[in-house]
Amino acid sequence: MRLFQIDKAILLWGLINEEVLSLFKKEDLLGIPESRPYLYGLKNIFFLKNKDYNCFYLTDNMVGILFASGKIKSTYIFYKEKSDKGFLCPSGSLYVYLLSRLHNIEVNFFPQGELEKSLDKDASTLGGKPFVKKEDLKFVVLSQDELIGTNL
Amino acid sequence: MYSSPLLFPVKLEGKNIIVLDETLLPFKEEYIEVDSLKKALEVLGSMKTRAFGQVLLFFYSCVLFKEYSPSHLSQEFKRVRPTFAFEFLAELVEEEVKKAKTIQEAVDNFIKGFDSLRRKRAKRLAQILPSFPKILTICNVNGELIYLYEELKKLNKSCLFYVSETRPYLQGTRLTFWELRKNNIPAYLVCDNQAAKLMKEKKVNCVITGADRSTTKGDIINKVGSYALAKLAKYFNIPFYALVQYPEDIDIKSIEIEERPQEEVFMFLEEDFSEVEAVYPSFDVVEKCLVTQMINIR
Repeated sequence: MRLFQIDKAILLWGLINEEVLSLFKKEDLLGIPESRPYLYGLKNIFFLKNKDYNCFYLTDNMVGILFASGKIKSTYIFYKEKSDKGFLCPSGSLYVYLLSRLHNIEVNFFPQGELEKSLDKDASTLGGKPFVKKEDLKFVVLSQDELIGTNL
Repeated sequence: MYSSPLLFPVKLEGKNIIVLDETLLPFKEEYIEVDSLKKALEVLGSMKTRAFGQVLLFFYSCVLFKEYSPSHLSQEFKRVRPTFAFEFLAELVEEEVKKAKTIQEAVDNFIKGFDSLRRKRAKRLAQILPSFPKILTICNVNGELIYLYEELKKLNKSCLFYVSETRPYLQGTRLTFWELRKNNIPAYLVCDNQAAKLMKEKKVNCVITGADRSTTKGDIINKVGSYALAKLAKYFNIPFYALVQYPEDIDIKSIEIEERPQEEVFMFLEEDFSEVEAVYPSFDVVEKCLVTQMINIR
């Protein structure tokens, strides 16, 4: 797939909750970022593909170019918990939230789907495969939930 | 003494070009012998080398494959990696040849001079940075962060690097984090999407990237993910510095952004992705308004 083929896509970040699908039409184009380190995007893309949704995959660092080139019309972030302080979301959600807002894209929050154990907990592995030498593991920053506050 | 094989990932040995296979790092340090233009283009297209490595590969191809003019070689290279300014490198070689006796001498002079300029550029950047720079970086600038660390030390400045993993090829993890840790330089590895959290929590106070292309107006093109860092840095009032070389008097939007084959998005993953659509723009444009300062090679 090429960038020119993307127009007015809906970006889905985090673990998709099946209930959200009622909001989309089959002809909607759904952009699915990888969502490191957990690779929720992989689970999402296969799930959507099996239901015949029109979707495409991208790595997290590619969301910027999609926003910059006006290819995203809205963002959905799937949260873990909601409180007075805001939405507690998986690692990386602040990145997607701020980039959406900085490009004047509306952000919708939705409760996340069922959690599955991920093989990865930080950037040292990808799909369980190690990319960092053992002696350097202590220099890998653990991915943690991020609070998207009501003040942002 | 600090060092990295990425400072010179491509070398000329006799009648062969020796290319460090960057796709095998950090667990294997293996070299590929290149003895034909076809092989050089294969190595380039399969991302075995990139950035300064592709500059060296081009220069040494000019030395070895004399049956082709630098201009012709630049077109062949450009066909494989369209965003990079190989035509500009061909002009540089042709200029240098006028001063030197042979293409080899011209190339040797240029490379030696370029490395000295990289060190000087690192020195200038070190002077600009605060007393304790906490640097977020993406992709890999071929050992220049090691030069920067040395220069910061000379100025009695402490320093800390946060390296963004740089999906899908993981150049941040496999190259930058590896070369910094190999030299015992304080460095932490993060997922690309952790940048906003780091900035919000004031764990970084500057962003430093390389640039594959740049313009005299102050725009750059660099690895995909650079734009997001620059946009977020601006929001958090964090300076964004780009290491550039030979800015061109062109419109940044006239440069073709390379899109790699979609299967490369799934690099290192093992499921069957044949039915899945994906995009892979290799580079981001970062416009002048987001770049605090370009640190030029000259």
